[in-house]
Amino acid sequence: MDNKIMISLNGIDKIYRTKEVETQALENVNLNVKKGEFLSIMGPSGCGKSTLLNIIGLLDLPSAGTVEIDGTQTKGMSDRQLAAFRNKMIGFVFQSFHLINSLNVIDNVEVPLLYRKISSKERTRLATEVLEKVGLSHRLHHMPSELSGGQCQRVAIARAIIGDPEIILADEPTGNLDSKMGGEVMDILHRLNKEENRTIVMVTHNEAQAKQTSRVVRFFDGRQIV
Amino acid sequence: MRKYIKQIWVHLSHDPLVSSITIIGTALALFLIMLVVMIEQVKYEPFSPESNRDRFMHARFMSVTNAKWGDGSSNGPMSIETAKALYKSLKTPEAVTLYANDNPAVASVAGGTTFVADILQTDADFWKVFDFDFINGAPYGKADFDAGIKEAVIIKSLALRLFGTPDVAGREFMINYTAYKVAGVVKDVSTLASKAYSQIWIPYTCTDVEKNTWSRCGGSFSTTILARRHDDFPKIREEYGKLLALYNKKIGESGWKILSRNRPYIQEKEAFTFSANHEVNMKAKHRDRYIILIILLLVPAINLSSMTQSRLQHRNAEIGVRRSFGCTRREILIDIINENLIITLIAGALGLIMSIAFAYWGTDILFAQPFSNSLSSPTIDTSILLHASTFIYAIVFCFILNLLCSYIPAWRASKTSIINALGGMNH
Amino acid sequence: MNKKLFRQIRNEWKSNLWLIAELLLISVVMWYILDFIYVKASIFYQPRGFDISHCYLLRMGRLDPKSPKYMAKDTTESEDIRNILTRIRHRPEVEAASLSANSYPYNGSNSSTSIRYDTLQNNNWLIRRLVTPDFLRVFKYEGSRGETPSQLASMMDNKSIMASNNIFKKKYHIKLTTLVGKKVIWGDDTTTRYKLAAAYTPVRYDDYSEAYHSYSMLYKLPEGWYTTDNNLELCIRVKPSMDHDFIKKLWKDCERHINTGNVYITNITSFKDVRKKFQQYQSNQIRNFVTGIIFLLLNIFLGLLGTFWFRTQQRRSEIALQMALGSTRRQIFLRQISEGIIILVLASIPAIIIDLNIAYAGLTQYMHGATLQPGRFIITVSATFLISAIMIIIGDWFPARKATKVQPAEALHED
Repeated sequence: MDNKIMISLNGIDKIYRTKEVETQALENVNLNVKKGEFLSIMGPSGCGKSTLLNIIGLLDLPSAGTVEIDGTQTKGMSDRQLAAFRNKMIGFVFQSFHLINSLNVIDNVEVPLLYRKISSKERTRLATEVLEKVGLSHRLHHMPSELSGGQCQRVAIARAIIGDPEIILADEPTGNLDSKMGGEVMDILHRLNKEENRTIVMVTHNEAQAKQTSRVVRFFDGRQIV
Repeated sequence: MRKYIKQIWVHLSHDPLVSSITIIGTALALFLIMLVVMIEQVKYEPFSPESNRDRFMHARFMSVTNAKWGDGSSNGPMSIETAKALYKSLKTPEAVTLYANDNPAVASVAGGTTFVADILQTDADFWKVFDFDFINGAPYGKADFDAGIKEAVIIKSLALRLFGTPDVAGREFMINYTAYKVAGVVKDVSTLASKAYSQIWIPYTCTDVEKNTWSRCGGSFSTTILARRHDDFPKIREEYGKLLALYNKKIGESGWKILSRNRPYIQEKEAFTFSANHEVNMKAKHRDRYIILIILLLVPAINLSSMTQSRLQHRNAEIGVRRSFGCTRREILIDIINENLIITLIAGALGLIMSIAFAYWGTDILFAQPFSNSLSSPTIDTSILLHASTFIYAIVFCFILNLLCSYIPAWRASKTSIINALGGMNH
Repeated sequence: MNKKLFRQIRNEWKSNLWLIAELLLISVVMWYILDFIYVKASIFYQPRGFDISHCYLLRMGRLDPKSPKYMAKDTTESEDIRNILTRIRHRPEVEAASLSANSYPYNGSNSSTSIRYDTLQNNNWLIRRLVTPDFLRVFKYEGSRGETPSQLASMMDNKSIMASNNIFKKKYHIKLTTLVGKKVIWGDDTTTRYKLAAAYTPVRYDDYSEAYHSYSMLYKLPEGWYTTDNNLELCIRVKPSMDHDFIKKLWKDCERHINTGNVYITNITSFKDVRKKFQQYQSNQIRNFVTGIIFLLLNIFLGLLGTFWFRTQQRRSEIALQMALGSTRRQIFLRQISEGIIILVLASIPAIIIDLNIAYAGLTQYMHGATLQPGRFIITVSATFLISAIMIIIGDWFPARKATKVQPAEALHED
């Protein structure tokens, strides 16, 4: 772990408004994540941890405050700039995998590369490589519906890292898995953190998993309490 | 590309009802649009013997008025004198032909059965303007025409009925109980070649059709002009203007005046011209055509776009995933439109095939010509029905239909926030 | 229950509004086309005033002097024509045969004229038909006082005329029957008076023209008109029992038994063909409109099917909940359908107002000189509503059936 700051959140507020109700999801969140850190975010349901992850991942805009990723200010970026930035810097792992059901494993993994100028041959090569890394080189042409939950999540991780992003954002990656499969997924994430020095931010409910990470932050009612 | 199609197949089979409505609706729309296109095309796309339609100008009628008549006019085919003065004397065109329509004639061979056949009386230049397919013999030439020698060109099926064989050049038969020699036999002509069509052609010098005159300039003759080039039309009009002025000066001495009504007309305008006493408003005709096409595109597009919307709803999560991995809104929009285009093209091809099949099967319903002299049904073949432009139109209409039915849903899908998309919600 | 239904429709107003707009557009377009077809069909089926079944049209020509058959004058052309008519009349299958000029039905060549009586003068396009008396028997014209075609024919002479009952009707609201026996002025000749021998039921110009707009008069074909230059028509009515292959048989006999002198038959056509040819333009137009409406209906049907499929699909858990709470399938089904019908009613109200304005503005077809007629409007509007309703019911039936077949637990779980 070096001392370079990868993610810097300053004074983040997030307020959801409907006609009648105003909900404060995040209130004045300040958080720095260093390069190579494995950060866990914990807290009860509805505490705003997923919202925070979305804001870090540039999927959602904060109502106030700024997000800096790798020293770049993201405020005011256009849709196209945000898309390019996500593509280069961030890989997502979702609780419900979100694989594209109409594509097979290798095509799913290639998705992030579709938005870069890379030949299809090179795409296939890279996809095969990352699938090997997650131990799925024998399942390249299966459809998602033919895989177990753990396998699906490994495909999702392969998809998250194929673009070689600095940051991996994982939203309860083991939430839909049994403990054995969950353990396998966690192993892969730790390996990616240690061996490849990737910065990982993970939302989790699992205390044991959180303990194995380098830092835990806790949220309650939209505020950081630890 | 294969990946694309495979993916489309997976999406289509996800909800068979919505997918079949999409495909049936698209095919149906294109089917009807292409029928409209084909009905229009037979009127002005070239095919033998009217292969030079793009170089044709026609004057089926003339309109004449007299100083004593006020606003009144007399309208109809021309007398031979008028036709010669106004059209046959033109120098710019490659050829000008005069011809006279008549009631069907009675044809027979000595001792044989009598047949009724459509007959057209022409000059020798007729065979230069129109490109007939001669099976036997040759057309009558200028010398024979000038001498009024009784010769006729007939179609193959009539030759078969009269003589039992198509190789009958030189043999004799009776037209209206007068003897004619067969000069040549041509392949049967579709009534859709509305100018060239007949079953018998004879030189008009063989009959007294030239004597039929009325209202000073009226008679039995119409004309078709073959320009050397498509862009010669203005030059021909200019020369025609001079001839008209000259002729009007001549007949003006006794109070007569030819009203030009912007004649001669190009093929498309001629195709819409039914009455002799007024000029077709092509702008209005074009407007009608656009309105029909717009209705035929818009009505199904409204349906299809809700189908597209419904198909996209299943794919919200996918769109969210793609966006989170760096796909821009624009790329989402373009991807959806492209994907839909493939569906539209496939369904459109189906529609096109349906319309071609229907055109063959329902010629009499589809192409029956109004105000035609003949009782024969129109015949159709590929050279009449299918042109490069037919396919271009089909593809263009597919593109438009696709844009109409996919743009709004695609735009909405691309605007949904990523988080909502991942959550599967649409709003 | 119904109050709840309305409240739900109101709560989902956003998606319903879209559906209402769709139905509104559909019902206006559908009404317009139905109205067009209604007018065309009711005009088409009005009494025609003549009958062309078993009728044939013959045309005559004169031989070319160079023809080997040409004979130097021993009979006049007028005698030849008369002979041909007699020969045809004597054929056993012929019921009646007549000569006429510009007179047969479905004919684009017409002569027009005028009739005056006292201060009354027709202001319409009045067609002059010069005919031999048998013409009335061939086409079965009927007198307005119940005269049979034969009775009418016997009244015809060269000092009197007959005219259709309606020539003064539109302008003066006078039926011509009331003037029968009076002397009238015919055409430009103001010195001679002609007796109005009879009035007859209006004879329509063609199948797409109303009797209301078809005016005609008859006069006996004068002797001087018997030449081929006048392009005379020889019309024949054949006895129905003997109307087999008439054209073929007649052609066979033409050369030896019918043609005479220098006059010969050039063409024989059944009136069925004459009619088809003459009306091709209109029938093409009708064809286009009918195709149009079938296409439209299909599209509307597919669209509604899709829309309701979609709605029901989205409500699967709601339907399941209702079933779990004890609703029967029938009740759910009825509820779905009533919702569709209520939305259709909501769309139909503005649609009818728009229809009314379109008709009032004279943008629809004219019938009896009007575009807005109460009976016609009610019929076409109700037909539009009925067809839409049927399509909504079918479009609802499929998906609703499928939704109610699902086990409640399963559907609830899915959501």
